Amino acid sequence: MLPEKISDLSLQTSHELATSYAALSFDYNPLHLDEEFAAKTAFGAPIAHGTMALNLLLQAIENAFGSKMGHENLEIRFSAPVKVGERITAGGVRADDGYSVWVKTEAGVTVISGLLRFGRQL
Amino acid sequence: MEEQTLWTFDRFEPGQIFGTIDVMMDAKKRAGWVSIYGKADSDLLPRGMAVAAMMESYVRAIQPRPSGNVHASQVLNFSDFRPRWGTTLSTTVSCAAKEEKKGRFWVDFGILVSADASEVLSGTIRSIWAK
Repeated sequence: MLPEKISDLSLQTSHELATSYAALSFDYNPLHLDEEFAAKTAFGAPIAHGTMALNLLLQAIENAFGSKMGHENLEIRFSAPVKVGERITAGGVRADDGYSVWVKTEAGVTVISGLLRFGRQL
Repeated sequence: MEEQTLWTFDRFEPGQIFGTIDVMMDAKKRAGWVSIYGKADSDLLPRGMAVAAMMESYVRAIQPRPSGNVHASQVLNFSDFRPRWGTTLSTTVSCAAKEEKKGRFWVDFGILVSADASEVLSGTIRSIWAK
């Protein structure tokens, strides 16, 4: 039986973590790493890599479904930036045709929202 | 040394293929993953690691690029094939679409990740290109 929810999974972001993720993904965009550069952008401060938060969501999904997964489709939107230093939490709840999934900040701001569907019966 | 031309919005054309980039899922990658997301007990590659490799390929395939591009949305279609740590992921990056809307330069990049001749995931990176 499928779970009603995808249990929460959290990550505390930091400059050190952003640096580690830059090395992991080879994404050294100064928007994530350089305070001086980021201060001149609309964000005003470094923001975490979008896929750092997305991968937290994928970890939460894997924790929920484990080896039963396969042929899953995930469509998400990066709806707000995560300031480096913020704590984020990923989770989801069952929806009509899959799971409504998200990543939120501690302040309750949704930074990723989307839908997870499975292409085969679990 | 020959100076490469910056990838700006006007240079993108739907159907363009930027190449196939190989990324080895070696012990260094595994240690990097663990330092961010915690233990990786299984020999199977976490799906997120495939996504990080996809991003690495996307960044490497399109260089030099302007600073300040924004990753706006993402579609991921995973197959049921799960590669293991130690394998090499090969990612082909292409331009799927582009449009200028309200002064923003939207570009959809198609990605196809495979390992051992089997598809791991496909999808679309939707970006707002800086220039």
